[in-house]
Amino acid sequence: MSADNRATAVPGAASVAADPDTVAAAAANPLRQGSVTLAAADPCTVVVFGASGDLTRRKLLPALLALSREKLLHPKSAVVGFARRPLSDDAFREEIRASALEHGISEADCRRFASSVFYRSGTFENAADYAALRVFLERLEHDRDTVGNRIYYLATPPASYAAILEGLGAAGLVHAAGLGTPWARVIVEKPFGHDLASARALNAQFHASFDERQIFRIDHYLGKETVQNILVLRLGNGIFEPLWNNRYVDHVQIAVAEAVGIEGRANYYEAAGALRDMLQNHMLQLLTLTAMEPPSRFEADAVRDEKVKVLRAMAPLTRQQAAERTVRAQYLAGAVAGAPAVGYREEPEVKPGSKTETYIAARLEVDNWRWAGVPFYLRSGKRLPKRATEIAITFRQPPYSLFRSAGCQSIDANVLRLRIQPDEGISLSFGSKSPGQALHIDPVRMDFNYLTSFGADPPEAYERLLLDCNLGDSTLFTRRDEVELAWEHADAIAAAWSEGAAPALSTYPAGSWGPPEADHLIARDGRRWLRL
Amino acid sequence: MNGSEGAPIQLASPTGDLPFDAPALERDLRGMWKAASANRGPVYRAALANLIVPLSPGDSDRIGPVLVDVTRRHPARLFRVERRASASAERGLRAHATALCHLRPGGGLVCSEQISLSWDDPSGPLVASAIASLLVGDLPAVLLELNQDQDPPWQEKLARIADVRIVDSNLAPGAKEYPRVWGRRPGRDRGPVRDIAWARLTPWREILAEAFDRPEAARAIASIQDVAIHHRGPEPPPGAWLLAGWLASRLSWTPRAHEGGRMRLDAPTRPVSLAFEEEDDRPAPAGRAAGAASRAIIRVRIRSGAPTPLDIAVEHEGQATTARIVLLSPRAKEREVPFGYREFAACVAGEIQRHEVNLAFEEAARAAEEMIALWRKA
Repeated sequence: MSADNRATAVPGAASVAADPDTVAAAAANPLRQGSVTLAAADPCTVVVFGASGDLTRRKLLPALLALSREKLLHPKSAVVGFARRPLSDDAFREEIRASALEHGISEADCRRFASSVFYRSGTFENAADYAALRVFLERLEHDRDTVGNRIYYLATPPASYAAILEGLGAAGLVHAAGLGTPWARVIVEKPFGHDLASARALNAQFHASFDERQIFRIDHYLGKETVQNILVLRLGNGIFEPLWNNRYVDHVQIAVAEAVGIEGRANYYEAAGALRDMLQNHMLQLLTLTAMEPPSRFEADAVRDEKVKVLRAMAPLTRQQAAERTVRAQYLAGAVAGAPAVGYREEPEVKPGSKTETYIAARLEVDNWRWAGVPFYLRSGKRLPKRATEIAITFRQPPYSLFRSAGCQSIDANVLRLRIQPDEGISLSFGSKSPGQALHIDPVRMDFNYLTSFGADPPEAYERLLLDCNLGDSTLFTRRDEVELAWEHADAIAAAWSEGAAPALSTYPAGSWGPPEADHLIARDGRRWLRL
Repeated sequence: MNGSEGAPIQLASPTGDLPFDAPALERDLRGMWKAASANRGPVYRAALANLIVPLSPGDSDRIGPVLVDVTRRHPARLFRVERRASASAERGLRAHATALCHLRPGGGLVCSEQISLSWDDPSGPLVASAIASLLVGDLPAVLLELNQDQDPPWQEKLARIADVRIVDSNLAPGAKEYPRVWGRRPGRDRGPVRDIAWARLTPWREILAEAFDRPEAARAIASIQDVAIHHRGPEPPPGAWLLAGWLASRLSWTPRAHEGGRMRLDAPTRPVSLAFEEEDDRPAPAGRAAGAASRAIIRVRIRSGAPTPLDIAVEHEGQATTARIVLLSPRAKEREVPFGYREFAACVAGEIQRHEVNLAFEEAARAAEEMIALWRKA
């Protein structure tokens, strides 16, 4: 960050940034020298498809409302909900109000936001509804002077994507990718496909209407503050990056533990399982951010190029490797956090003989100069004892055990933990002499916690991601090649499993940390899972 | 930083106001946290800075709410330094510990420690050493000087233990005092200075910079010949001087003279005329922001001559979140743009969060000082 202001707005900078002549002129503008600015959002209309759904109510609208309250949305911006359910503007606004109040947003903020919220009813397959939407948007844009900038948010099941894309294209609702305004962007939720072939087909569908620069594939983990902090920790501090390699790192553990079950989403989860629901996207994203080389610039494509290189450096597992290096399991009845929990096969709408894995563990390797010989252990499961996501870097032991002669046979390795959720923060464990006359070395930890340092919880991931899309910054979104490469890895594992290759589907009681096979997977290498 | 906007909650130490004793205060604070946790559920003690705030008699009502808001936005160990009323029977340096807390949306309290020190004439010079003994070692120390009318001589000692000073030149009585406030008086041993008047200029500078981003406007920079800064109040406020200084320092203009109510500056290719215009015909906003608004900049007009004529004005009123850019020439056009208006506490928190030397401010203040000298001479 240079001499001047850290968090100020450049009106219209997002549109300015798209015009090369203006970019050059702005770079030479002497009034810009000595200033670092955050671009301000262009006025735009956010059209949410699936506006009556759970994601919209729980995440999107509260995030948009928070952005509006923080004056990070342009005051002329509008939100248009689109869904099958007939609803008036006022009824939609009332739903938003109820949801917002649940999120601790004040009545006054709700009222201010409500005046910019609208609702259109329609079916995703009906061309006439898109034509009507176009008329509505054009009138709204004229009234609010938003110059036609649009974000289309597909908060719908993936099965609806094709119809929506076709409807948008046929109704002429997508501005061609070009410089300046008006612009059109589309945000699509994960899962992006269910295997490599479907992801490629989906990419082709999106590219029929949108340029890659207009497509924002959301992986909401990337909007989490601690995930963004991975690069800051590594590359913004002098002490970590020199240690961030196979000379000093023994191994890396990435854990995404959930206490919840499938929460009534059997239809989706039966087809996805932990492999497609977690490993293919969230976990591989965390891995690439941990393992990537420093980008030449902190810009979307420079960052994503480096992430892609990590995925390329990981050869997809062969069947034999998948048998040896992966574990899959399904939860049985048990108890989580003091409450009884049914087994996966007893969950509503799950097939009694379901083979879907609710737990996955894997040992992956990044075959490059930096990480050769350093295993990355990944594990994720539902109905584990608690919700916790973290990346733990375990460092090598010192080369010589100086304190063995004093009776300290083993000292725990230093572990740097990046806690993604909950209690976002970073801690470093190290050995310390216990007070007293004898020499005892106990593990202690230095802890950074967002709440106790900054006095506030980090903002919701969706706020950051929606704002970035508005600004045209795709750094925290996944690119086409990233998605497809991640599916190559997931597909290799799925193929090995589906062809009867080991490992067989194991089980674990709800409320436990997974099946014994997962412990064996890491114990074979002389290591153990860290407690979450 | 966002936090809950609910009413602040104050925790008090069990012992109350006592003669200053650093270890006893630390014990008091620990005791207070223990008691608070037991009584109120989770209590998070947060700190990103040491914030030292000397207060003049009567300042508490004016500045107290600001400090609550500042610590909500940027948690700190806060040192309030107040002169005791002369009628008080108590003697020497006294202190007590409290905490300013706000409700966390997810539950619990987030708190900043507050140590209130009161002094009398004999003990005033001891204040800096008392604070030094209680600073959180690995956090920056920031001196927030909002009491410039009552600057005690030993306040310099506070400046020496602080890593940075935050001032508000709007509180200074007149233009001749602005350079002193900006730390530009020779012989003063003070650390870097940040001025809230400068922080308030941020949206103005951004919008003006943006106005010259387009290639056709960028070409007009070299032919700027006339600048008018319209302000409220009888004299140009410090923000107006700093804005003029910023333009001069960014565009390599050298102040030459003040003639006929206008400043003459030499630009690399032509002279530039700069005027401060008083505007009182519009009603100033009422309420809390009225003080700042009574000396606010409300319009900046910049005109360029041949070969790239341009006449552009930026207008903003009160706490509006948008400003108008009015292009008068070469073609008439108007547009509304976001204006990043910030409350006073947000400006203070923003300046505390700044970790870099503010070269743009330093250069603007230097140029502003030169212009003030010419203006006063005239």
